[in-house]
Amino acid sequence: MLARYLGGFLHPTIHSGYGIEFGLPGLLAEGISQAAVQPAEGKDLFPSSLFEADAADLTSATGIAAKLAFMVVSSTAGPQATIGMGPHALKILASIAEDPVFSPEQIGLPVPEGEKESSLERVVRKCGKQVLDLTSEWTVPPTQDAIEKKFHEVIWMNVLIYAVGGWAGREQSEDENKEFNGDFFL
Amino acid sequence: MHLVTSALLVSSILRSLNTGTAILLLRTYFTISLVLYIARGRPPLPISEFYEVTTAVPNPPSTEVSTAPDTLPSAANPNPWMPIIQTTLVHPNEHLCKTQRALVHFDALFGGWQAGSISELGTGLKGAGILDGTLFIRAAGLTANRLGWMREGQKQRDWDRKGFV
Repeated sequence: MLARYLGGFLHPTIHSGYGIEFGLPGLLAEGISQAAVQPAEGKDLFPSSLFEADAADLTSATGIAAKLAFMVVSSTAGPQATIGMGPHALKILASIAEDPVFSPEQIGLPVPEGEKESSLERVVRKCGKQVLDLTSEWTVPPTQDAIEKKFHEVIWMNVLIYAVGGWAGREQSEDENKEFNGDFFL
Repeated sequence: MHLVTSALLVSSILRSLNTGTAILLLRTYFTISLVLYIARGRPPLPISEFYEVTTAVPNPPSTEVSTAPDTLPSAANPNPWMPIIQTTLVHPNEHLCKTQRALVHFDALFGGWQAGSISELGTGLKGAGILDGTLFIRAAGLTANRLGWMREGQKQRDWDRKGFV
């Protein structure tokens, strides 16, 4: 279900998120319903170990203690707040941006016409394991404060990808101005 | 664009989950974001060039004003978010408003971050040391230009769908 919730280019997540933000139970129900009928693309990104590991870590005293020791308590909300909380999201992004394993040529993108596999499924099939090897290093200490601070890293990462990536790929834009490739999906 | 809009919504969702579930969602959302980046063609990320060429004060098509004496400087466009929000409110594209709303919110959170806030050495991402809080207004300006300043007379345009391959 998690794969379905994050599938469809994140639409179940987005729709249910609006429901939560504006206190509209109907929207939340629609978002979850969409998740229920969404194909579970890229299932290999969600191994069962992901669910078992988190449950075990949170219920074992050793797991919690280890994570708390790992965390630096910061009283500021500033940019340095995630020091000591493991690698920054941009560090993982940098690895992905540079490694030829994740290049379109290596993966075989775009998917040739006539083939039924989606680009996401192809990426997961060809290099899903390598992606998980990298992203498994990005951990989140189990406190509300840490969740918020580590989430902020993802905000920066996603805007960076959309804006800087979109600007870098401006020649591929369908717009005659060629100023910005405002990708619908990124 | 959905990486940007979804980030705003994930923020609300995380606050409504217990710690363990929130961490699970956050880590998988992080993973799927990177997979989508790869799937769309993994465009390069030339941060330095981006900052050199794009503007932190995007202007609407016209900034003509007729100011009285003693009006303070930079009167043509003192807050670049204002014209962007105005034009977005009446643009028919339903994804544009979601995107600009997300970007202006992120600007409210991080707009004050100075260059050097994110470590280039620590992340290994070339140009990361240049990243500052103007990232969001730069993105908003490019987005407004791409979809067209319709209120100001430009023709309606749409998102790109071909990706980066």
